[in-house]
Amino acid sequence: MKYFFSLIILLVVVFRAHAQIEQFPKIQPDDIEQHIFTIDSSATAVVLMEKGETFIESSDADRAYMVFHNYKIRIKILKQEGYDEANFTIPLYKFGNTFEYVRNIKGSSANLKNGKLIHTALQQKNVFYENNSEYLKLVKFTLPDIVEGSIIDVEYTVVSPDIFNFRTWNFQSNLPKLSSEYNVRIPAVYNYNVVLKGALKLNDTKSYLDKQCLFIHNTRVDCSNITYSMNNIPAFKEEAFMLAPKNYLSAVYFELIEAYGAQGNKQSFTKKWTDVDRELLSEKSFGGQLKRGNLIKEIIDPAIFAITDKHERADKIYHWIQQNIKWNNYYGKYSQNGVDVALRNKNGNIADINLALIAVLNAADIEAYPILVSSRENGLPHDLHPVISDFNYVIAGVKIDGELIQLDASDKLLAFGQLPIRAINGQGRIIYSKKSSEWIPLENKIVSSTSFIFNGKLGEDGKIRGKLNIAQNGLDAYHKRKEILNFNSIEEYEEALDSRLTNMSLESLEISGLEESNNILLVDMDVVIETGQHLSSSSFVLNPIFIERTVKNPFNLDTRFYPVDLGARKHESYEINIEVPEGMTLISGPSNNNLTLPNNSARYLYRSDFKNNTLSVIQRLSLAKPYYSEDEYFGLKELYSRMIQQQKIDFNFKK
Amino acid sequence: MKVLNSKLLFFFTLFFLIHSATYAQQYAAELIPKSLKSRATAVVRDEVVNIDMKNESNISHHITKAVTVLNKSGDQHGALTLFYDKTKSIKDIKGLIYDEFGKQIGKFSVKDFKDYSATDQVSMFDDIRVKHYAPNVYTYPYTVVYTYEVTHNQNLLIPYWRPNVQADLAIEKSSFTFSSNSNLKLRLKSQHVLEPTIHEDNGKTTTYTWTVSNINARKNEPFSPLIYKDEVFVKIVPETFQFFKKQGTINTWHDMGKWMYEELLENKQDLPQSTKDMVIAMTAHVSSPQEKAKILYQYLQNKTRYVSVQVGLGGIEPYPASYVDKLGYGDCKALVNYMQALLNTVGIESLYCIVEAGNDKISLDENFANVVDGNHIILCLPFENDTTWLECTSNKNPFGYLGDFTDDRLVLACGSSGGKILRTPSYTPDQNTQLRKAHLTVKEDGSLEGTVNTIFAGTQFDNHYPNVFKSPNDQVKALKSYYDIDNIMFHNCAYTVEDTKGLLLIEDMDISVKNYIVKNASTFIVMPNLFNTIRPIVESKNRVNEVYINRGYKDVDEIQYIFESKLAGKIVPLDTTIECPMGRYELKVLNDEQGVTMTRTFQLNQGLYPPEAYSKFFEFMKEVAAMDKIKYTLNMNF
Repeated sequence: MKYFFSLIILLVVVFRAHAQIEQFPKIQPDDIEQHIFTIDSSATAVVLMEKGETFIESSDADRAYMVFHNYKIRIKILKQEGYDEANFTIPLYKFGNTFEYVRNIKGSSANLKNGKLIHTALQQKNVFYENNSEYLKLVKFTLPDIVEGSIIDVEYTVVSPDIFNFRTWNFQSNLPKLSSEYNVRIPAVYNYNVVLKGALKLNDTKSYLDKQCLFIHNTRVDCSNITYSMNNIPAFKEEAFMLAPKNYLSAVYFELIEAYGAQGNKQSFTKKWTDVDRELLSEKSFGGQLKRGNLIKEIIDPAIFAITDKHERADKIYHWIQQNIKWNNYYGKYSQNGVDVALRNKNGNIADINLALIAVLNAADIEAYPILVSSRENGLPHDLHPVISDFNYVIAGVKIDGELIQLDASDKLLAFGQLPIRAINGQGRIIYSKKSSEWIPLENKIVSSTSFIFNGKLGEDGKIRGKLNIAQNGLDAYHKRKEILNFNSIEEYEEALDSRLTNMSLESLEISGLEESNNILLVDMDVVIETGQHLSSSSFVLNPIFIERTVKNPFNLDTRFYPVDLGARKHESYEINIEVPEGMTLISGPSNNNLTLPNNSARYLYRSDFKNNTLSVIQRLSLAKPYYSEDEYFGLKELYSRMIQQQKIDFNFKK
Repeated sequence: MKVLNSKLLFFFTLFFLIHSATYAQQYAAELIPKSLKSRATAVVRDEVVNIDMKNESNISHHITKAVTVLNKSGDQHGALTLFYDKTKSIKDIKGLIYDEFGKQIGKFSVKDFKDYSATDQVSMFDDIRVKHYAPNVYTYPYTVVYTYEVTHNQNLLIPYWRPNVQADLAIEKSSFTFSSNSNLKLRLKSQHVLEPTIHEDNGKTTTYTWTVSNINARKNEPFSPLIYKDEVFVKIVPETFQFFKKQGTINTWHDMGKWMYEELLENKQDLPQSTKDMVIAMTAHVSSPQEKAKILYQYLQNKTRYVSVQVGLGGIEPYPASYVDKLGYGDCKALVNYMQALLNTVGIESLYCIVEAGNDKISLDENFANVVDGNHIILCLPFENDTTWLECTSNKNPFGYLGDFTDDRLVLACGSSGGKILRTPSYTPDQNTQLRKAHLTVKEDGSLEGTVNTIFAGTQFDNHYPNVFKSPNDQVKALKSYYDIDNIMFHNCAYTVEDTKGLLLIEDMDISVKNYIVKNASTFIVMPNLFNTIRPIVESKNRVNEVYINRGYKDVDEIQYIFESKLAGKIVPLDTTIECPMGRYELKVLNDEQGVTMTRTFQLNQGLYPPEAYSKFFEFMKEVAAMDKIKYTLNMNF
């Protein structure tokens, strides 16, 4: 008991020394009564001030050097819709065998009651600790006594064994902030590259040399004491068709370049690409896996390796890997289990799958290299310095006849040369050798396309009978394959499709290329379309874009702040021919339309013709780029709008 | 012959299942009767569920199951997702995986499971966790055979046996065995299963066994009743039980309400004297209990907020009122209890009501008292001729308003005099209304400009009420999804809540829609039904299930278009009515020189209809959908 007591004292003493974030100014009754903030008049809550600091200290309790992250925030709750801002969740991660932990959680809310300022403190028994999973713990609490106008203060310290990591500080969040300040004390044994991301500017950076701030490796070392501050930070609002928000959030990032050990030995972290190339290729779970090709080769049908055409050989190997290792839903640039174990268990992470692919391709005498990727939700990688931790994914780059083909074998439904949307994010780094690598754009060479071809005949009963052929490629085919394969059988898909198409009935359905992801997906149908009209009446109205007509504009914002990213180029076309009974004459119909955005970046075309009793209509929509700027957004909006209008116009016939 | 005790039986079964499988290829997929494969994503080859209630705090629950996954959609049936909390522990998980031909290709045990917290995003805290394992098999079909035991330390919540609750799962064989002390009285409810075989072991232990076999998977049909009528189930609750060291005897909902009140609610209304004094002072100036309750409800809404903290007994015991008074937050139980305490202070009686909340109207099982039914608490104020209901977790709900989260269903009211089954208020289509009037000017270029006034009532009130409190930007975003029209702009939007004869939300806005009306040569192409278009429903051939419409409503749209340019010639006026038992539709379109007026009425009637009525409903909706898109080509004098 005595021991326990002294430990507590020790912790408090040690801790006091670290809890250095200065007190926030005292809350005044006026602060509670202030309800309008010019920074954002519609905010549900606003951050009045926020401070963080990070430093390294020897921790007696842990008998190790630890990083201390002190955090303190004051939030004003303005509306009931902002009550959730009084709920806090602190994630704690595991490094090696050690979890981070949180200390000194303090919270209080301030309210005005009968003109008197009342503070209510958070009680420790209302702080909940949740073992979320093997790698993650959550600390959750909510503040008491929250009403409109409340001001809450929260502070805590996260102590982390991850001593190389000075955390990213997000100046911008879902709430507007009046001020946000981050102080780091980086000991001279570390060398960091500090990067400010996002559109907003720092208001101030203060730095000085903090002499002999840390006792480490038996010497006192100096620290760079730097404070970054930003004021009047607007809230971040997400928009549709954008890359991960973290690419746009204003934040300061710390990338460790090098660290000095006890004997003055230098360990480099982020350096030159050549260093990274060498290290990765020497690393067992990366380069090491690439050497296992010959091992794997033995279990693959030798006939595949006998194929003389390189393209075909590569394609067969790609499909073999697709079929034989199932993705376990984990990303990773490093192999999780090793490619041979992955093959034996028939499952593995992204690196297991794609490194195995590269290894086998090389063993089959095909030039293939790993390409480091940062997945779409992980944000864009830095392109100035190599930051290896930016990458969380790896794909294969195959060179055949001078052409580079990007491959990801983690999904059976992907075609040779097609990337899933999760892997398309700016640039990837292709690693050719221990000495050479380069940036290459990640892109889907295969255009996302859907084409509808209909040839039919209008009968005297007012029904149109004909053949509808839908051909799809790229991401469109990928999504359709997924949809169809979700059904137990083609028959069940047909049944569901038939019940969904209300004015059309399916007489027959044939699907080809469903499982051959390299091929175009073809859905051929015999259909009967009900027009709901009788030919006996004097006039007849027809609108030939009868399937999957666009009626809603996907680009409906009045203002756009961020670029549009679609993941692939897109084509959609309709070719429709309908033969009408003899004696019908066309009275009116939509005029032809051809609209092109500047630099041919997108195009809409509608053309019709009535000849030999046949109405022919062609409609094409093509988005020639996967990526459009925020200004081009309004061009896309207008293009879709014109298409929606054009499709409202019917063809009127008379007998 | 002496009957094997259930534990022994269990081990024999297990031995048989796992052992024999290694040799005989009894799990070959081709052995599944062909008829069972129809519509099935997986087939339960053999399942043995065994519950042995040794005593009230030691219940062992064994599951042994062999399931063949036929295709990718059936993967979930091959995976194990086992939830647990303080009342149960899971042990002895073992399993084997077989390929299509019944050859063993893998095995797993507890170390292959991932263990997670199952706390949902909205909860601050609860103690539910989950163990999860998914066999990574790539080729279909494959078979997973596993066994595990769950030990329960209470006997109020005993897992039900529901072998065919999932539509896409076919059953070759499943059996359920329940044993307990012969003296223990059980309440039992079963459906679509033959009477159990009963064995008594020297008058000490009674063992019941139910078995089903060859149950086909079934098609999910749209607008099916909420509860599948041919579901097989056995539900067992002992008359006397133990739950978190509390004893009880429950036979009826009356008993249940009394037990809840006495064990979990009574003595929880410990408001501090200062709060009591304030409550009395706050309500002193009004005399009617309704008015007092209204003031207190407002006080609750201003003072508290909903935070889910599930730490009481099995998530059914509220925190005391003093706790909410101090912290200003609580979950539904705590907030209802707090509101009750406030009302008690001024002498107003109220009832703590257990309800199954959600858009689907699911009632408590009227004939079978249990603690499984219900997931939310609301408050009932039994004023004379004016029963009032309060949702205590909402900061915004008007006094006495229950929306589609809790309307029209049976709930249990708990009180000192025992439990009572009550029904929450229901709204007829004439009460669930949306009445819209729009006056729009059609510009020469086909753009629209004008005002739209809409009155929402009943459950439709709730559809738009949250928008009242949004920031202008978010309001526009929400409006764009309600009124999803290309190029629409909202210029002013104002909301008023009226509560004179029923609760109304009035939305007034100015809109403009660029190029809505398409100008083609000297004509205007007008689709007069601007805001409210019905989508056709899917067909349902060879219908098996009855047709169920959960909630009815009525929408009236009246839109007047005034053209800036003169119309040349007239359109034929339209006055059409479409009707079926499930609904009624009226569309009138009139015009004069100045413009076009459209009146559209759509009504959907809630209820249960015979399966063959579906085709009528389908045709009705199809015709309505077509009429909703009616289009006119008008010749204009530009």
